[in-house]
Amino acid sequence: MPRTFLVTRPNHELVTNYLYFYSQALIDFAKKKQYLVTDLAGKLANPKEFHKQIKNIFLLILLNGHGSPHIITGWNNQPLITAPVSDYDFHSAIVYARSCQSGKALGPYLLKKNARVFIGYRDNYIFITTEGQSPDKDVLAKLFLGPSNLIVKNLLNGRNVQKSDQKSRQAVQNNIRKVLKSRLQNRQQIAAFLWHNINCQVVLGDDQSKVSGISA
Amino acid sequence: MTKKNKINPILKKITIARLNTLSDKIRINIGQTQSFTKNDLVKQINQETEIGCKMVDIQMQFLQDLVGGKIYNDA
Repeated sequence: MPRTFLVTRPNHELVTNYLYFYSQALIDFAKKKQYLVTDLAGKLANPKEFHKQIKNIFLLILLNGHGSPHIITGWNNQPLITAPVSDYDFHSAIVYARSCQSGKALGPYLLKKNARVFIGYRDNYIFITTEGQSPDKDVLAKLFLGPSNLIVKNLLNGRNVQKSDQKSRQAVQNNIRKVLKSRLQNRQQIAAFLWHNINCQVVLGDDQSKVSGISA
Repeated sequence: MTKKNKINPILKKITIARLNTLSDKIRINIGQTQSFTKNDLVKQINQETEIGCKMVDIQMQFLQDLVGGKIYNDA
């Protein structure tokens, strides 16, 4: 069975633009690792296209977009998945939702819908950007989004969910230390937001799962 | 929804003082709501909105964990 990876990444405003940009690196990495990538980018991250694609079997699903406890959205904030309405089978996929509060109700719902693991946030995912900077040049945003990318990168590298989550948390913690030791004007506040993200990152389901399907 | 006196006045002052050190160029992106400048956040705290309360919680949790050594110990 080919190793399949689904990504949704709308880019209709500033927040989604950053998530879109950071997902590109993961898509490139996955392709290098011989994954078959389905990239619902920009306008393609719409309910109709998602509905069509989710019928296929994906080992790993990365959902980028705005969210709430029950909903994760795509292009123009159209809901892609709504708990407990959407009736999709997630075919034992590992799902990572880079989206606010999805760990509250949506995550447990996806497990009921046969997702093997859900990684997300039980509160708002916060990141800082710098006015006038593009996502590729924004060093402050990288402190936040770089570690979140590590979850997927480690999974693509064959590590289990527990280890991937841990690697990401360690990277956030390293960034906090780096920031606190720096001369950045905003260091205490940046560190506080990074710490908040660590505290609300959750893993639901079998954390020994790997994308390959074999537990550690 | 705004409810008065939801936030302890001392914690409010501390959080506002901390947020005021942020550069004007910084945007804090919080979920589906919007991107906030420091002035937006200070306003939210003064109005004791949900976002304002969250800002106080985030800053206080950080200070508590920094003092308690949790930030340097957890890895």
